[in-house]
Amino acid sequence: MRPTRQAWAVGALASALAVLAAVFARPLLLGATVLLGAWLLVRQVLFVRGVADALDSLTVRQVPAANAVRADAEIPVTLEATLDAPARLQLSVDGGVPTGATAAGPLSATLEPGDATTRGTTTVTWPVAGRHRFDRPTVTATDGLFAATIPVESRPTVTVEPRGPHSAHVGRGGDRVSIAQGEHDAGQRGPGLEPAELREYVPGDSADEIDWKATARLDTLHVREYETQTHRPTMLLVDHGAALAAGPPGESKLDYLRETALAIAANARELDDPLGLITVGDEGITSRIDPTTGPAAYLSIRRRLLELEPTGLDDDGAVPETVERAQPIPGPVPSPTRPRAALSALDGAGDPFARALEPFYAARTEYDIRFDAEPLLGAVRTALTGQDSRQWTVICTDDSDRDTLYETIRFARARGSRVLVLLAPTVLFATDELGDPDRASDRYLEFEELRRDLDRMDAVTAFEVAPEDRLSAVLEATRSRSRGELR
Amino acid sequence: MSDAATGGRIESTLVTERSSWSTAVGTIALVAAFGAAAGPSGVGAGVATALLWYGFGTPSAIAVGHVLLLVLFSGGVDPIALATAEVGLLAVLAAPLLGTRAPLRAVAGTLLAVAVLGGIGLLAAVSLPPWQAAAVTVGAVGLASYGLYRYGLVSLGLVDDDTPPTTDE
Repeated sequence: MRPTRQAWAVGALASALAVLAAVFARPLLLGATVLLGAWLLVRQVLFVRGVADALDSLTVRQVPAANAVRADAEIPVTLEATLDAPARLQLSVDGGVPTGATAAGPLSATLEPGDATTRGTTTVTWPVAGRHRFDRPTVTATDGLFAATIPVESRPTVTVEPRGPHSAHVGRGGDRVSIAQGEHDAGQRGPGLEPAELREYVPGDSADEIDWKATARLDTLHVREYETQTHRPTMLLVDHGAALAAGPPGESKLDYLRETALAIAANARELDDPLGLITVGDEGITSRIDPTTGPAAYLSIRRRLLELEPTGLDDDGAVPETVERAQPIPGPVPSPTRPRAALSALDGAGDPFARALEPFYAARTEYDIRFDAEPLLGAVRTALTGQDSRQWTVICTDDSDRDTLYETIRFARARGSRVLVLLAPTVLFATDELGDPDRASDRYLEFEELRRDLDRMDAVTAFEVAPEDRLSAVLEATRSRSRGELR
Repeated sequence: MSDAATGGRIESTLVTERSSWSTAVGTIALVAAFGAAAGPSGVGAGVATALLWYGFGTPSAIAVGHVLLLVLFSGGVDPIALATAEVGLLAVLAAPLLGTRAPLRAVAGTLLAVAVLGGIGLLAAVSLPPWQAAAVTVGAVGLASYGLYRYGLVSLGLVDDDTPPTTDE
């Protein structure tokens, strides 16, 4: 509780009259000091009681429009203050926007004397992922002479989820499957490190295999056998052409495929399998890492996967019309938040900062090998040239160029490689089509037909990679339609 | 807060609903008390104080009223006449409180505050030199105000209950 300027003025007046009384030796003026002092004290008591009564009947609520949002989302937050009975005080309520959020304007509302309810709304941006609890709102009450600021209870929480793929679904026709590989048991004895068994020497065994300690202990010749170690080389082929940019920012086809590729890379690392990576842009191979083991190789593959961004986008981050694909690229145009687009926005030529950054971004668009057409097929050719036929080839792409996809997989099979195809269904990344359930359902069934065709091929496994919520919505629409047709 | 809520007067919004009859009672009591204390010139001073009260609020009226009383009693103060005039000013002090939600309690509180502070001021004026009497009076007002400030903090729950940890010696 603090006095306002008016209360200080009255106090100063009372003191001034007391000084005059002393200076002029006129105790009569002390009567004014006494009356003014009584006036102040009574107002002070009235204020304390008035504030206590107002707080008893006051309800303050901070109401965010949503309790769970994505990072960088903007939602309106409303501050409501309601009195059971109007008060004679002015009550200013200030909301407690969390530190991790940014409010476009002050979150506040004022109840003038006689008002019973008020509300204020502002837009709050949530750039930081996590669970954010609102600070307690404060009520500043004043009667013109005194003011007091009191915190009140209303602390909702908002959960901010980071941008990026959520609940990525990998499976067949809506059924989730695991793509994690177990250990590859060769079922054979041979050179290795893991002891398998101790057996008696039989003619034909090499003298090198004799376990001399066991022979001395058991008094007959014994041979120790070991488990044969196997490793399966894995080659990841990740398409990052312009068509893979379709989808909301941070949740594009490429983002979902990237997550899946990262999971496969982590699995390969755990099993110590040799892992390689070829990234394919619209015009050819953008980077190539041959299958190898070791933490450094896995790290560089991981880093490269995380750095991937769709090629062929123009400076604004939009898909150019000249990109040739079997089907038009649906979905919202990606926002210009990509590094190259940001660089172009730096007003290039004369800016030394932009000039300094340009080589780093320019390096990303360089192609190791260019192809005139069908870059994915060219990449598979490159990947399988001179490679072990046991190699597991994992192709991460979408369904926008079906002919090339068939051709690519046939080629890989012809070379004896086992193939895993991870396909991002275009229909699930086109937000404009999800508004029409029938059309989305038709498009998904077309995709499913393609996936099944691929899956039927010998030594080929085809899975869909999609956002689980959108896939569920389309599947539900498909089932509803089927039930309707049956009736 | 804007002055619109108080009509430009120095006053709490908790007591701004001034009714016409309480204003009339206060004005009549003030003019009558001043007139009884100082005659026709007292009536004039009372009217002037009442106008000031109406226009600028109670603190101005009390301050100027006392200055006018000082002029009226420039030749010497008659205790009974002074007490009569003070009753008029007390009416000015109490009249606005009739518009509060608990008028009797507010008026009783005012009378109690005036009695306590007046008693202290009177005792000080009688027994101490003028400057010490002034200091005692102002000090009493300040001390009471600080006490109410602490009371306000406690009653509004603004005092942290947690006691700081003490170290065992």
